Amino acid sequence: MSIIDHYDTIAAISTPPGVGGIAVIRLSGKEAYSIALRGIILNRLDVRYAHFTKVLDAETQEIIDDVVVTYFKSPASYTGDDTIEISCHGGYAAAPAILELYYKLGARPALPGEFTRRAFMNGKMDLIQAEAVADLIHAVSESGKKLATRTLSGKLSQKVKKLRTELTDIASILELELDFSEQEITTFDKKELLIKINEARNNIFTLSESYSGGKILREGALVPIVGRPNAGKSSLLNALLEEERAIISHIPGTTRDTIEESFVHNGVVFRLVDTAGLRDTDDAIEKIGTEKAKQTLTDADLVLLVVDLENISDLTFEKDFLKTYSHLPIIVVYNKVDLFPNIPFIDTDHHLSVSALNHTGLDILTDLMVNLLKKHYGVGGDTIAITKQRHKNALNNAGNALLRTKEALASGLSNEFLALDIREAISALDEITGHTTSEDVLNNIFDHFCVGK
Amino acid sequence: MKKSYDIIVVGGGHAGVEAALASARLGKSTALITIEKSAIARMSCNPSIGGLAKGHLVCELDVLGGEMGKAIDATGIQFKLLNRSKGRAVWSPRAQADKIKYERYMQDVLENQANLDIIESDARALEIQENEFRGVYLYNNTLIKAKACILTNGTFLKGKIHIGNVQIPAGRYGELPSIGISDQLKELGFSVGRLKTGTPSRISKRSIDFTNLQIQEGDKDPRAFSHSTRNFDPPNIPCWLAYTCEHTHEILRSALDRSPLYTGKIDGVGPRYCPSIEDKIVRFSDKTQHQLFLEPEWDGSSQWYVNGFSSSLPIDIQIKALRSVPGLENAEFIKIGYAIEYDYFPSYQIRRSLETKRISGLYFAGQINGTSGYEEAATQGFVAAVNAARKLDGANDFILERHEAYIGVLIDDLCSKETSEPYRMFTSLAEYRLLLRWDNAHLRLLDATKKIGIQKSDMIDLFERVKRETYILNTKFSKTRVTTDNPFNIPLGSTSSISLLIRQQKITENNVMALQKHYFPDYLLDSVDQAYVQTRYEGYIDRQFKQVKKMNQLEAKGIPHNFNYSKITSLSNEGREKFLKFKPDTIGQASRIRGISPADIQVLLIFLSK
Repeated sequence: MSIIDHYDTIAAISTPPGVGGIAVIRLSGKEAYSIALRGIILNRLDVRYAHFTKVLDAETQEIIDDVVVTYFKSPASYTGDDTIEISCHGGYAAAPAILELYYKLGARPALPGEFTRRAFMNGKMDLIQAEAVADLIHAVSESGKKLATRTLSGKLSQKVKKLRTELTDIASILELELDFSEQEITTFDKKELLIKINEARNNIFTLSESYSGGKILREGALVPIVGRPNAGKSSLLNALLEEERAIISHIPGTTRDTIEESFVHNGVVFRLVDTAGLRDTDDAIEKIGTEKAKQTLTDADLVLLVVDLENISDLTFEKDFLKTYSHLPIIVVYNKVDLFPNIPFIDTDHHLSVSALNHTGLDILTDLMVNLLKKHYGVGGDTIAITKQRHKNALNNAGNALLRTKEALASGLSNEFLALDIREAISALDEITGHTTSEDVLNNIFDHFCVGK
Repeated sequence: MKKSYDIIVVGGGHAGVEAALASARLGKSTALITIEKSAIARMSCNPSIGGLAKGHLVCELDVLGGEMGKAIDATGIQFKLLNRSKGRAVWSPRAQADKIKYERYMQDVLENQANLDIIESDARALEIQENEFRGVYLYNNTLIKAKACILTNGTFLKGKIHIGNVQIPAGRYGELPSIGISDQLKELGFSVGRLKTGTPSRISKRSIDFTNLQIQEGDKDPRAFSHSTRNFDPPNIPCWLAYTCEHTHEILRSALDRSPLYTGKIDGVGPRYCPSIEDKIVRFSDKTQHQLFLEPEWDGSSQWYVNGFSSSLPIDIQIKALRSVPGLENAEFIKIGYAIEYDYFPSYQIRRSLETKRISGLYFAGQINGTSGYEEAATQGFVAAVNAARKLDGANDFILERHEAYIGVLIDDLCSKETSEPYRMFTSLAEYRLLLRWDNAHLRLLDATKKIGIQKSDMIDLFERVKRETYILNTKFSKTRVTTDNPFNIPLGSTSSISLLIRQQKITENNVMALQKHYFPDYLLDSVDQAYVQTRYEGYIDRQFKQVKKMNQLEAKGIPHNFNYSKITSLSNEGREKFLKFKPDTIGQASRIRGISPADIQVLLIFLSK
């Protein structure tokens, strides 16, 4: 059981993930009011009044979304603590971005059932309600269990368990020297210890970084279609959607100017964003330089750069683009191949001829998109990835605790201080798996070291 | 001997002694029943008190008003502060004891204690009515009535000694076991388990060739366990270190088929932290040598304890193997090593007050709860007696929390963990280790000590003074400036505050005495030292306090003893089973039970709201 602090302000998206008109982010806790104000452009909130306002990233001064904010003052709220509800646009972009912002501003991710738990702790629930919620929590944990035994999550648990073993090994070395006197045991080389800490930290970092791949699995891959005006971006989008016949829905995208459409291919959800909104300008490159397009490209997992085969005398735009976004996987799609039957068909890792008009090459394109995602993010197959922000936070906490361990080791502090940090790292991992026992370290010591007089 | 007492203590070991003293000192008429009066406070195994984490227990017990610390200060023959190369929190005092003087000291204290009778007899059965303790039957069926009883039977409950294939019913070498009570408790519905421990052989001093051994001396500046010890100037008698060799291991290995451990004669589970020598060579077969510590059993002792050579192998093998150790070629044996099996009652059957859940007024303390060690036993005996006395007075339970004391960790562990081997205290079991230092027991347990009411008032005054001064000094450290021309001879670029210099490690452990002498002569050295430690490790200590604060939310949430877990269908099966077994006092405790998931805790919290 992890330690839960009831003084913390917690935050979570309270609406189901995925598609929906609006999403609600809930903040609750003693500091909820002041933390909420840090993220919006208002100075105060009236109680139980729906305020129309904007969420602003204080660092970048960038507006994240237009929102409606309501303040429920303690004790008249769901949890009984001060609670703020922020209704933003639905979909995959706005709500997570706002949540992320509030994590930066001082809220921490809510644990499963934590809002309800607080409601109970504050006496907000009677027996019947509590029973209903208990069933709900139970159901959630049951499905969590099922999920865990399924392919990916089962492997994730194993992976986390393995990381945990690395940490308990380190803790055992530290504790061994504390629990048995110098006479009884041989001490451990500090350099070797440092190597072990570094290894563990790297492994934790790698898993933490798999979040983007995991996120693709959970929320789909964001694929902007870019290109000069009239290159055929919209036609390509429509052709792909028709070809796949798997239109999920039509939802507003990140910005009011772009349109997002989704389809599924080989189990991966692709969220195509037509940057057609950028077409009404002579200088597309400058337009792409604008904040909104930049944001879409920052979040992009894969880019389709459409080139009009009728218009290839000057490829400055394409060259500049490829240079600027060289870190992203990009497929250069040569459209209108139907007009040039004599040109050899291009089909390489990153270049492909298609015809949006008569659907030539589209099946190759979708396969290529899946392959590139696999290559870049390890999506698909038997890869292990984390899919939840909560997991990422826990891993980052573990990583930070290991960094502190290193610093403590370097500054010459003795084992019990290093052990404190390692224990924090272990309990951070335990938040992912829900596994905790304090005897693990001692058991490990007894199994591996000859101790005792 | 009277016909009735307030409290009866059964057993005169380290738990029984502290229980009897605490009970009598709290004004309760007390009887201590022991099979052999002259064996009271005997050290059955190693001749030492304290050690890592165990030393903490002794210091805590001393502050609360126990006797063990004073006894070892008065009778110790070598004192050592262990782990001194590490941080304060894991330093721990240990002393070699003069076994004979130690037991005599304790016997004298008991003899002179008001309200206390010592009855030399065997407690054969308990008088229980309607799940309430009423009295104890002696071997001749005499009933002694009492309102509460503390059972501290140690290894005597159905004790059975193993040496090779030979089995002897005994509580200790040459002493009778206790038979009746164990079966009666079983009939009353208690579940019984079997544990094993062992002790090494004792050899004669004149047969040891010391020229081949390494000397191990105590500290030149010995520290006392007890705050009440004055003019402390104990002897410093060395121990000696020997090593087994490959040949020793071959001899041991050749006889494994005659070891009761490996032939299945012993059912009890032994401690992994204190393995027998045959266990060591089997489990760590790659090690070419193992350490053996030769320790005198008393001042001028002809009988030496071979620490590290505990064994249940046949006599001929033990002799042959030990004589293969360089320096011990001519070892003469006074006592042979043996393993002992005994009954214990898995400790989920007690509450944190150490009262059994099944029988009101019946308390368990010491090895009967599955623990090992004199210190673990002594602290339990003390806590059981305090609680028994408080119950008679209608006062609430005396419970120490995990962040307050190792005693709290020990007892909470007993009530929320399943012991599969004898439980021993380790510092790693304490999650708030940095707060639980051996040197600050008087500060953290001041309120608890006052609540109990055994400790003498001059000691309480002293503890209060240290606490007050430490508080003041923490502020003074940040306000007092140290100039470039300072008594520590620390080269400084400019004047700095004491607290800054401590944090920068310019003023170190070694400067504490000078700090007190030059800057705070009106304050106790102890207070300056406490303030130093608090300043030096401020960040870490703060972090631990924050952890305590978080966890306290759960610790404070109580669960009624009669809470009906069976009707909560949303608990996992394992969760329900464990809750029914342990019946935790608080949510905090519930969350520490192995196999309990966070979801179970959530469900429990929700149902507790009604």
